[in-house]
Parts: sequence; C-alpha cells; structure tokens
Amino acid sequence: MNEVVDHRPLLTHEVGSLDKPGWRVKAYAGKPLDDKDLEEARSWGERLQVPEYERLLDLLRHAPFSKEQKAELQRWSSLYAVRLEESAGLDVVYDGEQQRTEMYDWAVSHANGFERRGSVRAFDNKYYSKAAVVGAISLGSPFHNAEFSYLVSVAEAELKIPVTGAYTIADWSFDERNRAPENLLQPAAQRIRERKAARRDFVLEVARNLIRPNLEALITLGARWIQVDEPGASTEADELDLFVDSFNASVEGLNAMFSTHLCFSDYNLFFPAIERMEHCQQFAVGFANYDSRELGTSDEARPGYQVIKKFRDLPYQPALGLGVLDIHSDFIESPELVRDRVLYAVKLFGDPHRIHVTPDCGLRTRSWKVAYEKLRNMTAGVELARKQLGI
Amino acid sequence: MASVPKPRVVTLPSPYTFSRAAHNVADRNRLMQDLAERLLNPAIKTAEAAGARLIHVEEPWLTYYGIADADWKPFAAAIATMTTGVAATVILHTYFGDAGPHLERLMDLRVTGIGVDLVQTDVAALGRHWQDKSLLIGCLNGRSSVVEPLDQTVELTRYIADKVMPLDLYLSSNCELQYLPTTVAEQKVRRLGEVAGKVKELVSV
Repeated sequence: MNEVVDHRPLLTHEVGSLDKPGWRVKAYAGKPLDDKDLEEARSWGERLQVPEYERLLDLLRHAPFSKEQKAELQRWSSLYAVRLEESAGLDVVYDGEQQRTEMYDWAVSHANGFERRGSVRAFDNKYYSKAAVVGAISLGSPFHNAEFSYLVSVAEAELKIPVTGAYTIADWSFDERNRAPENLLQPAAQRIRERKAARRDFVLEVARNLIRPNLEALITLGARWIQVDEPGASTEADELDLFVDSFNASVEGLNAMFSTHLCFSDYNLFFPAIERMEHCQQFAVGFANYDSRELGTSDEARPGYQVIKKFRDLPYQPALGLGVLDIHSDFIESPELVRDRVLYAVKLFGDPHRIHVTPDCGLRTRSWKVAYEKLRNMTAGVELARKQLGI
Repeated sequence: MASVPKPRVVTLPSPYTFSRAAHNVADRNRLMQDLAERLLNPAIKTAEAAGARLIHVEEPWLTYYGIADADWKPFAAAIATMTTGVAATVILHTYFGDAGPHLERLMDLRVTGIGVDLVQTDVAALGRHWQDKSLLIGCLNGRSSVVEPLDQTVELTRYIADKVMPLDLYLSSNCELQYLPTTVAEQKVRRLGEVAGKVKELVSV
C-alpha cells in the first residue's frame, strides 16, 4: 500500500460524484437564478465555512456570465464540494466531479476519434450522449488537469481523483472503426471470434491511447491516488478478463496508487478474473445496497457483505473500499449501523488498515443535505468502530 | 391502440424472463405459471380485443443465461397457458444469445412462431423443419450503430426463405432498439421496411 494513504486504519473517503448545486447548473446553462439559488449558496457557504463565499453571492447576482465567469462558478462549486466532504470528516476527498459534464461525456469530449451519435438510455430514465469511435483513438488534451490543479490549491485533506476507466468508456461507445457490418450468412462461430478480437483491440486502444496518457498527465501534476471508475465492468460476464487487461494496460508501471470502483452487480462474477489485477491497490465496492438495516455483526444481520471474503483472499492483498452508505435511498444510516457494518467487515476481512470506509458509490443522486448527513454519520460510525476496536 | 396503424403488434415479456428477472422469489416456476395465467394471458386477450394481430413475446433470458432441463416442462406449460384461447399470431422472440441449442424444444412450444437472434445464432442451426412454425429473424443488430446494407440483408432473408422455408417469415432487429440513439433506430426501422419490400418484390418475381 502506498504510504500516502496507509496512514490510518479505517480510512474514510468518498467515491466520486456529488449532485451539482442549482446555482451552478443554472448559471452554467444560462438560466435565470432565483432567490432560492442564492440562499442555497449562502446557507451552504456559511454552514461549511467556505472562505469568502460572499464573493460567490456577489458573482451570482451579476448574470449573464462570461465564459471565464462560468469557469469561476465551477471552481466555486468544486470548493463547496471539497469543504462539504472535509466538514463531514472524510480523510480523503475530491470535488464530487463538479467541473465535469458527466463521467463518460467528459472523457469523450477530450478524446480524438469519437463522434456523437445521440442519446441512449443508461438505466431507469437516465440518458447519456453516446459516441462512436470512427478512427484512431488518442488523447485530445488532458481532461482532469485543470480541476486537479485547482483542488490541490484548496483542499486540506488528501485527494483521490476519480477517472472513468477504459472498459467503461469502450463499453458505452459504439465501435465504427470498421463500418462493414457482419455478414450474417457467415458461420456464427467465425463472426463471434472476429467480433471478440475487434472488441479486444477497441478496449485496449482506449486504455493505452486515451486513459493511460491522461493518468500520466495527472501523475506529472502530483496525483498520488487515482480511482479508476468501472461501472461497466461486469456488463459482459465473458469479458471480465478483458476488463482486467484494460486496467493493467492503463496503469502498469505508473507511479501512483491505483484503485478501482465497481458498481452494483453480482461481485462474485469478478472472481477469478481480478486475481490478475495486481496493480489495483484498493477495490471500492458497494455493499450497503444489498444489506439489511438491522444493527448487529452476525452473518444474518449483514447479508450484503458476504462476498468480501473473496476480496480478502486476493493474492496481492489489496485494500477494500467498504461501501456502508446506500446511495439509492434518502435513508440516513445511523452511526451505529455504520459501526456494525465496519466491525463485521473487520471480523471477516481482518486488518483494519486494509479497510477503507466509503459510500457505495457516488452520491450525485442525493441532495447535498442527505449526502452531508450520510457522510457525517459515516465518519461518526467509523469513530465508534475505532473505539470499539481500540485503534 | 386506435391510433396505431395495422397490423398491430403488441410486445410483452415472456413468463420465463419475467419470472427469472424478478427479485425475492421463492418458487420461480410457480411465479412463471401465475404470470402466464393471471397477467399475460389476460393481457394478450385484451390486446387482441383492441385489434392486435401479432403478439411479440420477448425472451432474452433463455438464450443469455440458459435454462435448466427441469425447467423446460414448466416453461412449456406456462407458454401453453399464456396462449390459451388466443387467436392472434404469437411469436416468442429469443435474443442476446444463440438459439441453436434450444431450437428443438422451442419448436414444441405452443406459439405460432419462434424468433432468433441471427447476430448470435448460426443460420445453419435453423435447420429445415419450419413447415408448421413461423420464424422471426433478428437480422439487424440492435446494439450496433452501423446500419446493415440493403443488399446483404435481402440476400440473407431470401436465403432463409428459400432454404429454411418457414410457415411465415418475419423480419426484425435482433433485440429492442432502445440501445440505439433514436436517429439510428429510425434508420434501422426504415432499412427493415426496405428489406421486406425488396424481398417481397423478388419473391413475387
């Protein structure tokens, strides 16, 4: 484990996104702000003790905004988000991706070789703008440098940068590099073989030519912990080896701590494929979504956490990012519930230095009020667990 | 329904997929039968009464995840229940996987026709025993943004019409088009119409 983040047992951190404040969204979109938006900026500024937040209020009163002013508003949004996480007591923070459009779009917007194709449903009633790869893939310009440089200047806590992973970028894109469609009269086995080979080339090209150079740029700027987000990783059960290869191709030989975030799925699917993922020093995994809300540290009380034994037994001994907050619900987990989830994990997983405590996923679907309360209870619950463990 | 041009198609989930995708179910085969009897059969009859002539039943689970040997009998019973008293054409459309290994048993189900995903299924696996069964071919890839060429798809369709000789032949995408942007989906739907038109023209000659 990297000594930078291995400084305390049961380290706490966020996982990625936070909702964007109404004033940030409206101002950026050129929509009129109302008193409610200004009050939101004022009350959170005061509550989080954001330095000189009155300057933001003054800026918000002077719409319409120039391009530079919009960029300044994004930085204010980042500052607020960092302060929210620091104020909640997290050991490692980021800005809830306040300066990005969305995890897929932001990466693709800074890449060469992609063309937009239109909106496609992601899940429920959520849509994203899907692109097709039509030529050689390369990094247009490093796409997290500006936000990272800014956050280094304002964050008091350690930073962890969330970056969308190669497999997810590829899986959420169309591959139009070869526009000749399959001839369905050809034998299916041959077609499937060729399809898999093309898919492999595509995913690894994204890893090598887009994600890796962007990571290198971040490391040059001083990034020490980079979280590779892979919500698409388990989409195709027969491509988990490819997911692992893409992670390895993205990070192998680079000098930083790399972790990965796996979103909701049957985590058993990842084994044994991730046994080869030795460059991953932490797996941040959502468990609370599958768990009961009862207190207790028995197997029966904690059904959502059974799979952590498999992560424990990985040969390269990564840390576990233990999801203890259900991000799909406004239910506020009590400190005692967080404590029991952590204690149960320590019982199963062992060394608390290898357990980091986190929400299940990014909290962007929750209001700031709910996210803040959840995070505060998470850190309070971790303190209870530390006390009980005598650490 | 009144505003939908004829012939009217209604799409419903297969009782097998429905029962396997459900959460917290103790007895999935019991649920499958209940769904067929209490939900799908009445839904099909309602659609039929409203003018539906083709009932398109989607079955991705069977070909993607498979089916246990012991579940075939309850599945066949559920399909029979679902189609009891139904006069409309009912097509069970499998997709997201190879239908080849399942075709023999699929052919015994009490439906008018079977749909296969030709992106995943070998044309040769279709065999030649379709004189009493209709065949839906998923001949356009609903997960690819590349629109299939007209001539190539016409050739495929003619080959199947000539060699497989199903009772009736239906053309479709291999799966739903919700995975595509609307503009691409529209192009694929138009292409499907062009293919059907061209094949009809050639067959009539």
